[in-house]
Amino acid sequence: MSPWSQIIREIAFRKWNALLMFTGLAAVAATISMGKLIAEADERETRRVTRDMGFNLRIIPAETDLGQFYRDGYSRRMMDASLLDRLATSLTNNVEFNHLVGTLRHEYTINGETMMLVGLSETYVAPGQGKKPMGFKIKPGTVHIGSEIARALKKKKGDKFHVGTASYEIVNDAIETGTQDDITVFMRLEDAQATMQLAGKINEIEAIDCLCLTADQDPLSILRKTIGEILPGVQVVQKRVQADARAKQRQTRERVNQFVLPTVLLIGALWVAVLFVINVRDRRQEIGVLRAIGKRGGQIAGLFLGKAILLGLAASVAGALLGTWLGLQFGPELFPVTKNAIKPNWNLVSQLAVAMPVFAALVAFIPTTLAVSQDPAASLRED
Amino acid sequence: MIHCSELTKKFRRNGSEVVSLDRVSLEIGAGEFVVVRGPSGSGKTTLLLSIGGMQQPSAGTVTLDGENLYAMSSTERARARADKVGFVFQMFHLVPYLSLLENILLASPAWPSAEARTRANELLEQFGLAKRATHRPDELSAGERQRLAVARAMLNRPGVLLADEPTGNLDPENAASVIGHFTEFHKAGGTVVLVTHGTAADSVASRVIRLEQGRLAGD
Repeated sequence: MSPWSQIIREIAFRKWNALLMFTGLAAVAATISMGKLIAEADERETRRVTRDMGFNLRIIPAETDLGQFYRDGYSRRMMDASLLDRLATSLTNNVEFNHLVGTLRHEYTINGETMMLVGLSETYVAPGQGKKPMGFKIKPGTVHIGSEIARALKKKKGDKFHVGTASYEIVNDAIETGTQDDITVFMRLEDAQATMQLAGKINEIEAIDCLCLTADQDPLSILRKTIGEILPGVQVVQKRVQADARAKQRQTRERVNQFVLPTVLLIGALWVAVLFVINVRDRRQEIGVLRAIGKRGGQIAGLFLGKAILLGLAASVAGALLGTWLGLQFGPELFPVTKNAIKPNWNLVSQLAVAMPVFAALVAFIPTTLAVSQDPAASLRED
Repeated sequence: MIHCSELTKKFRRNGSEVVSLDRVSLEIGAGEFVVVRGPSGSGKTTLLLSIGGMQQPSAGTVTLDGENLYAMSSTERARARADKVGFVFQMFHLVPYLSLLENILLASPAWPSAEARTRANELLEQFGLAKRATHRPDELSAGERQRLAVARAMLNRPGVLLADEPTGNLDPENAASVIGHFTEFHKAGGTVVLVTHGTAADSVASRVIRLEQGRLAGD
């Protein structure tokens, strides 16, 4: 009979003890799973196709008339594109803002249809953070068009789109978004500059604030000061409502990560450890007789650690499924900004399948040591 | 075969020191059937566990087949127990979640070989338990459980059987049956050290050792 058979038999024999251990481990796995799901959804949400929803900072020329800016949706003043490079160079690990995109945005008329032409630079991300750039990347020779433009000009994905003297391929499905994006053509910054004959110019730098503070915490003052020190000749405006919602959600998620997750991990570990100690106590005489018939300490330790690994493996699958269900069921209510972005991640099962057995074995380590070190003679004397 | 020299074991209980064995020296030759008798607390079980390499003495030595048991590493001592010693306890100490066959095979040092399985089945047959090989210990009577424990002790063909009150929980009929198995083992050349209050083994024992207050009082 193999040690694994013996372990499974013992689990089946002391099923309540095993079930309680399994429950504790599954709860830990479910919490990790749900937390990861929400975090991934949060990340995904800010990459939504409707770009403006992701970026909540707008850095515009200092001379911009804000009334005109809010009415038209863009600044009629220009600034040099080199300001983007200067701001990008300042990005470090401790940034208060990130994901910089230089933008040239202006009204433009094609075949009698007035639209917004938007040129986008590549996205600059702070180094060493492992973050993917927000927004989408526009390949050379291509454009992304809004649904209203597609309808008015009878265009679709794959068609040619002429702007000025240049021709581009439409590479997106023009889905209606209910925002200004529906009347927008997105192209590379260089192409927009050439079309509008504004070489080397931009009229906005979009960014995302990383302070994640709510309005009452006044992040805008901090950002204006920081950015103003790098680029004195700009104004900084922030999309407050959307920034606030993101900030609140991020703070909630951070509170969960800082408090809920460690608490669940600690309680789960204590729960399982106590159950293992009880298991060792219940098996005192079994351990004693195993010693008497010549089993070594390592073989006895293997029975307990093997049990922890098996239960951890089973709990990882159950916990991943439970956490996914909880995330899908309650995530939208708890984290409304990202509700549409919450999706299952089945890679979690394989990740937890490694993490949970290790966690369980670590938790079982001290009780296992107790089992191995107990005096077998003392237990064999007990009647 | 077994040589104890100035064997001493002390325990600390409730802050005071208790001497369980006090400079016990004795020799048990191969093929002997030794009964150890004495009042409760006289050190009989301590002597048995010390001989079997299960209880580190406070002083003195225990030699088994010429090897000092407590000079070995714990791994070597476990190996010696597996190869040379069979233990039988008053409370049987069977593993409750394993079948009868598996309880016997548990004594196999490594992965049970085909030979070990054959031997285990033979022992079940010998002890009248073959038809219940797949049953669990809690389905057996006390006498059957003790027979199973004896069978387990004999799986590896040990040279010595150490039995601590093996008939203490048995009726006279079952007690006689168990003593009978020890007698067969002895007749086949094995050494038996039997701790008992009863007299069922007196007629077959080659020696009776008496312990009182941790000391040899008679041999």
